[in-house]
Amino acid sequence: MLTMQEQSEGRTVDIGKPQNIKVSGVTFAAIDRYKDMVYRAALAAVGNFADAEDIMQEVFFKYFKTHPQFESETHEKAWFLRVTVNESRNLLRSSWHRRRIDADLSQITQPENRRNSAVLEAVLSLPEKYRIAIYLHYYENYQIREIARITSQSESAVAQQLSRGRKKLQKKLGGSKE
Amino acid sequence: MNMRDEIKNAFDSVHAPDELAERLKQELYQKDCHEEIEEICIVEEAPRRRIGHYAAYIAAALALCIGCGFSIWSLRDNTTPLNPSTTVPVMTTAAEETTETTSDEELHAAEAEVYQQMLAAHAMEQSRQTVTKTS
Repeated sequence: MLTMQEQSEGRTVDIGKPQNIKVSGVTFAAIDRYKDMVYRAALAAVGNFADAEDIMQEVFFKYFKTHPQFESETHEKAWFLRVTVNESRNLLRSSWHRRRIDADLSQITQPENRRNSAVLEAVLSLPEKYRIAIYLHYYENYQIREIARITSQSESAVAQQLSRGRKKLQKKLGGSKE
Repeated sequence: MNMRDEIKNAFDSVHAPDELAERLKQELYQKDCHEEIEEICIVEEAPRRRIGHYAAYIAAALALCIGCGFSIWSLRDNTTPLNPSTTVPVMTTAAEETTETTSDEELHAAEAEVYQQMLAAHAMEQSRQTVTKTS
């Protein structure tokens, strides 16, 4: 980690403490606060770690470029999730991504615990639309209406995706119940 | 363990790589610095260029104004009043001049004299011819 301290135009920048750095008026604290959430949402959306890293970078570049103003922390969180979902969709739609050969999940999954790894693998092996709905509902605790807003879909479509996704996941996990 | 807990545990074990977050911060910081440097350069160069650039134009315009003013002032001293009745001469042709000098009566007298001379010459010629015939 860098410990350089720089003064220019009356502004003090301490690289040793990333949360204090301001880029165009926005603090780096947002990265520390939302990096894991954005990374997980991107992983759920695109289904592999390499693309999730790219999505995470894109989302934060967009955040520092647009300087969005938020009414509350909930609003800010929803903004990050929505941008992550949109960026993931753009990546999945690109012709370059379609031609790629998907990496072997078993080699790149991070979880230490075997069961966690199996669950994660099962979630990531679901079709894209089910993955996002499952992640937002079960992990981020969003209701169907909120998921519909974040993913720009109708509530009935989200409800259907959740129902089908749940069934598929239960099959894959061997009958686990909610 | 229900499905919600299992999914929570599975995703909880996933973390964004620290090096990725650090790299992202450095990239964002460097990008911001580059943008600031460009802005500073524009702000610093603009006044210098403005002074140097417009001084030449101002000097040229001032010299032109002085020159024009001086020439107008000198022209105003040497001007002659324009009065057509006194300054523009009346142009006359040679024919107009002859008609002015010779009257109609004199012209008629001259023509009559020439005619008399012609008659006299003709009479002399006829008398000479009759003399040669008789001889």
